Amino acid sequence: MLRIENLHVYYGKAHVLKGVSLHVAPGEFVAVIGPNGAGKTTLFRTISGLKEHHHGVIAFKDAPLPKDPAQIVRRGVIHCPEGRHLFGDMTVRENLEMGAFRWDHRDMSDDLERVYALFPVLRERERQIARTLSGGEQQMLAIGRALMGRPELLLLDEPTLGLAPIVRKAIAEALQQINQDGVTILLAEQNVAFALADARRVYLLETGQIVKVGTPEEFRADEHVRRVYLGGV
Amino acid sequence: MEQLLVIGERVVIFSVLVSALYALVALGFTMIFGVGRVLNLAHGAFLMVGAYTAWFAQRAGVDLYLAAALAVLVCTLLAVALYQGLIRHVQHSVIITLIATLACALLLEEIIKIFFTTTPQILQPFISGSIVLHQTTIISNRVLAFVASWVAIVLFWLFVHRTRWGKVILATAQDQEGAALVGINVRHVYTVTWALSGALAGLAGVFFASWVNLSPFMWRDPLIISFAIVVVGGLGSLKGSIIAAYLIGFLEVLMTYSPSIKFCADYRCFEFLGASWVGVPSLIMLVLILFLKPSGLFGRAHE
Ligand SMILES: Nc1ncnc2c1ncn2[C@@H]1O[C@H](COP(=O)(O)OP(=O)(O)OP(=O)(O)O)[C@@H](O)[C@H]1O
Ligand SMILES: [Mg+2]
Repeated sequence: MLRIENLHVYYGKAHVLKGVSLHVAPGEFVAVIGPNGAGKTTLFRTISGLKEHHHGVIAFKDAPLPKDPAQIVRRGVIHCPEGRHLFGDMTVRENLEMGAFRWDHRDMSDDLERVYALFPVLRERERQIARTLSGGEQQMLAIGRALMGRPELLLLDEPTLGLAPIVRKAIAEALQQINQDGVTILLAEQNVAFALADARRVYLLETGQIVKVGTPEEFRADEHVRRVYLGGV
Repeated sequence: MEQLLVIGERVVIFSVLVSALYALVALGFTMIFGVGRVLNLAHGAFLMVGAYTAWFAQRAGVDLYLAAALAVLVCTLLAVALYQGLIRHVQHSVIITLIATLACALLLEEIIKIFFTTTPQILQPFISGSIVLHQTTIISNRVLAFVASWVAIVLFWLFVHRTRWGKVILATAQDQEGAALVGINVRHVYTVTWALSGALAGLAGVFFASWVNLSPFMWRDPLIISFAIVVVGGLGSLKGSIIAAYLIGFLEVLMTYSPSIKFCADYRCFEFLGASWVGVPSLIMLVLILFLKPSGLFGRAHE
């Protein structure tokens, strides 16, 4: 469904992605893990068109993705970004409605119901201004807004960063549900234990290069991964 | 004492009238700042182009209503051309944008000088005559400018808060990246805001000419006013801008009257715009607010 080949991305002279290749099959739940500064966010921003790439191929359903973020959204690739980027002065409901922007005037009550079923707290807070939500609620709203665009491929950049374990659990369960409903997920995560629990297949990104790919079981068995990322357990 | 009451009455009436115009003058400037974080120093020059377009058309025998429409059209096109041709490419740098828009203003000033010289010109009013309210004589055309300013402001508010396109503009103002990620073409939104801002400036220019004579230097006061209103009212806040406009308008009218109490019997002493110290209250307000509440009276701290 998504195929990336030999992707090179620069910030000025800094070479941040150095020939990244990866693929995601329809219906998969794939995670990209890596330490701070590895280039996960850069990779996601490049896929969704917020950052231009220097060299390489990004193909979605066997056709290259357009350059313009708005066009990429229309292809069904939707990015729930690091830092959420909600519309702070709008209500929860308005944020969700903006998420369905690409569907113009279509009826979105079903989509709203689906989001509210996943995150019931959003229904309770429908009229609340987004900026005043708690961190966990904001993250749920960000995921909900992305879902309103009816993604085929959902890019999630560190959706549980800094959240309490109970909120993290709620979001992790929602992600499983979303994936079972047929949405392909690509997740960026620096907490390796979380990624191994959530995803079916994992890429390890270190300083701009993919250094390992495998199932969570293979990662848990790997000496390097255990020592560096799982605290030796 | 009687005298003082009359002055008080005039200060109130004139500041209510002129402040509405100030709010309209600042509207497009505020919007471009709020949505794209661009300080358009050519905003006052857009007003000037609007005023001169109307004046030129009027001189050629065109009816003023049509001339005003022409002014709006010309300013809309000018704003879009400036955005597409220049600002779009330099928007990422605050300094270059400031220089580019200031250069545009100075260029327009020179062009006006070449074609129309520096001789002040007068735009014939929409309606002539004056009305008397209690002890105060008011030029009818300025009442018209007041009403039209409010109509434009209310229509603009309805557009932003009640239409889909307005929501899209608000979303882009609140989070540009969030907007791009729900599929909004941010470039289109910027183009539309520049077009709107140009149209509002054209309209404001025509009405501004009901208070001042036209000259190649007339762009400076509206720019200072807009700047002060944005700073005082807070970033991109419409409500804040209107209150700021009234605050600044009131202070200016007050400033005009305090040294000229002795000839207040003549309403023409209100021909103050263009007087060199008229921007002073705005500047004082500006500095005070920057010290006391840098986010503006209605701004939020984190922005
Ligand atoms: N706008 C930018 N300008 C310059 N360098 C940048 C920019 N954004 C990111 N970088 C650099 O690119 C590298 C990769 O950053 P990126 O944000 O993609 O990492 P990450 O894997 O998402 O990290 P984290 O887990 O902390 O979010 C870092 O070295 C970072 O300093
Ligand atoms: Mg990141």
